[in-house]
This record gives sequence, C-alpha cells and structure tokens, in this order.
Amino acid sequence: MTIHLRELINRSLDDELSYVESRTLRAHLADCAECAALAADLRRADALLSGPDPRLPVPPFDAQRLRRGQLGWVGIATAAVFVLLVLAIVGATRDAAVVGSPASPSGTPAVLPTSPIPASATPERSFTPGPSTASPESRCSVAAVGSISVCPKMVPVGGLITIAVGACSNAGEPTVLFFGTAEQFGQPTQGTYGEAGLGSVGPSSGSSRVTLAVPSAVGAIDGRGGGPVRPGLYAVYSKPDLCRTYVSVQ
Amino acid sequence: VDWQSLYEANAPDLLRFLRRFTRELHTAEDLLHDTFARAMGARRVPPSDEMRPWLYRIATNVAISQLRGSRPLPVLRFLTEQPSAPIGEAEQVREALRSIPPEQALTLTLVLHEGFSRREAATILGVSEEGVKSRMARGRINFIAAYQRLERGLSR
Repeated sequence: MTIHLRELINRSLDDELSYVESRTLRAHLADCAECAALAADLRRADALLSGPDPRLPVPPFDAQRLRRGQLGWVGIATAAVFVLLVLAIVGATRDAAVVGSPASPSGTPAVLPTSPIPASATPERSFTPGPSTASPESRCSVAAVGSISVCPKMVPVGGLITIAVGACSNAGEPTVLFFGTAEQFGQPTQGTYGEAGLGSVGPSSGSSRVTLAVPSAVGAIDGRGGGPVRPGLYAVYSKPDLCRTYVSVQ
Repeated sequence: VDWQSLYEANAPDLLRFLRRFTRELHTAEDLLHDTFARAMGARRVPPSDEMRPWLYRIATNVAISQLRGSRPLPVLRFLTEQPSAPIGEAEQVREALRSIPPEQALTLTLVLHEGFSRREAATILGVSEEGVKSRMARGRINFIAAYQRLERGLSR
C-alpha cells in the first residue's frame, strides 16, 4: 500500500477529498482487500472514538477549595494522614475514657475505665466491636453521602470496621467493595501491596452498611505483592471505581 | 468572572473529556479540580467567547501530565473475582486511548469526541492544523491497533 493511499483514506475520514479523489479511492478500495481492510479499521476507530459517553455526575462547585490552589489529591491525602495521626494522639489521651462506656450525647464519658487500652485500637470517635447495648452508629459516625465511609479510621489487624456506602451505589445495584493497599492510588508505600474483596453493600444486598473484619491477607495485583496485611495505609474502594476512602491499619 | 456559572456550564463536558484519559472516575474529578484551580489562578482570563477552548487547553495540559505520569502503573486486576469482570466498550476505548502517545489521544478526542474543528484543536494544542491532521492520522492507526489487541486479549 502506498503512503498516498493511506493519506487518501485518512483525508476521506476528514471529509477532505475532492470528487475525483473520492472516486479514485472508491475504485481502489473495491480492488484492494488490504486497503479496504485498513479503511474499515480506521472508520471503526472514528466510530468508537466519537461514540457517546454517559453523562457523569459533576462534583459541586467549591470555590474555597478551588481557590486554595492546586492542593490536588496527594496533598489532600497527606493532610488526611496528618489529621489521622493527630486523632491517634488525641485518642491516646482520651480513649481510656471512651471505650467501655456508651458515648453520652456530648461525647464525654460517664465512667472511667479501669484498664488502659492501647491507643492504636481506638481512634477519637470510638467504635468498640462486640456485644453492646448501644448501636455502633451512636459511637461511630459513618454518614455516607456520595462516598464510602469507614469507621473507625484506625484499626488493628483483624479489627472490625463499619463501612457505609452513600451515592456511590450505582443505579440500584449493590456496590462491590475492595480493601487494598493505598499505594496503588499513589499514596506512599505502606502496608502490603495487593487487594482483597470485601463483598457488596447497598440496594439489593439489603443494607447500605456492613461491619466486617479487616482481611488478614491481600491477594497480588498483576503478580505483584500479596500476603498478610501489615500495618499501613489501606484504601477501601468500590468497583466500578466510584468511591474510595482510607483506613489506617495499626 | 462568575466562576460558578462557568463551572456549571463547562464542568460536565470537561469531566467527560478528562474521564477518557483516566482509569478511575475520581482521578478525572481530581483533574477537573486541577483544571479549574489553574483557571481561577490565571492572571489573565480570556473573553467569554474564547472561554471554552481556553478551559480545554488547560484541561489538555492537565491530562497530558496525567497520561505521562500514569503510564507505568499496572492495570488493576481484581484477582479475587473469578472470572475477571468483562470491561465495557467505553472502558476499552479509554484503555486503548491511554496506551497510545498522549498527543495523539488528545487530538483524536478533541476533534472526534468533543467536536472541535481542526483549527480549534490546533489552537488548543498549540500546533498547526497540519500537525493536528498528522496526529489524527497516526493516532487512528495506533488507536485501532491497541483496541484490537484488547479485543483479542479479552476473547482469549
């Protein structure tokens, strides 16, 4: 095939052929299977590329956040990690007072516990797994509007997390949840690279929230990583790629 | 400048445009955020009739850095699922677009998907009209080859 013909085919897709050129090309394509196949392929490329995309929900305009400049995702995530660290320190000083007693409306404990609790097990907003008269929601806010929420944000290996799914549930379908190292989302290397399925939540799975244990191991992604979950930053995310949040395994 | 109105008028198209170059929706949302953060931080803002191409120009630059930076990332495979979930045609188009040179992917998308004329695309991309045409010609061939590779890979 000559370069001239390839150019003619491309120009025909751009609607740039003269009448004579267009007839020449048609006549040639009728005779040359190779050129006809190429023309068909390139026409298909244009059809695929110009196909409509579904309309996507646009995040609301947030002038303040935009004016803060180009903080970007990494910056926000770094800030979030920092906040988590601060919460851990605050938690270390407060959790002894929170765990073991139902949270009073003001958040201040009514009874002081008798034994110390490791700081890592409990963030400031405490959620204690196990039998309890108070519902987990009363101690751990997992409001989820347009997002996934995980509570608590810091858990020991094997600890329980409550996951609430907001508007990431898609058109009445259940949201399939995964747990994996945050590294795959561009966060600093922490924890074991890999991921594990967590099951599904949302409409038709009967509930918009689940409480489950942090998996003890994650599987490899593309042959990389996999193994026991080690302390580090992990992401809880839904598929298809609608929502994501982070949880710190201690 | 009424940024909120500009955002409401242009963000849906820009998000769909950027979504073509990212594996995940939230990355496209981040790029949309970067686009408007850059626009609002610009020292000079064009008159309203040149606003749309100007925003696309910023979005194009944002997308190019994303495409160059995100290349070595492995494709996420959900190994916990058996068999692997089928990916739709739209995702396959995006994956093929991400695998060809970014300049070609952006040119094809601006003209064929966003409906810019070759001249407008040339202005947005900062190249000549001839440059747009040659990028489209090379891009079409690379794109369909990548797309067909994906098709074969999926049917195996």
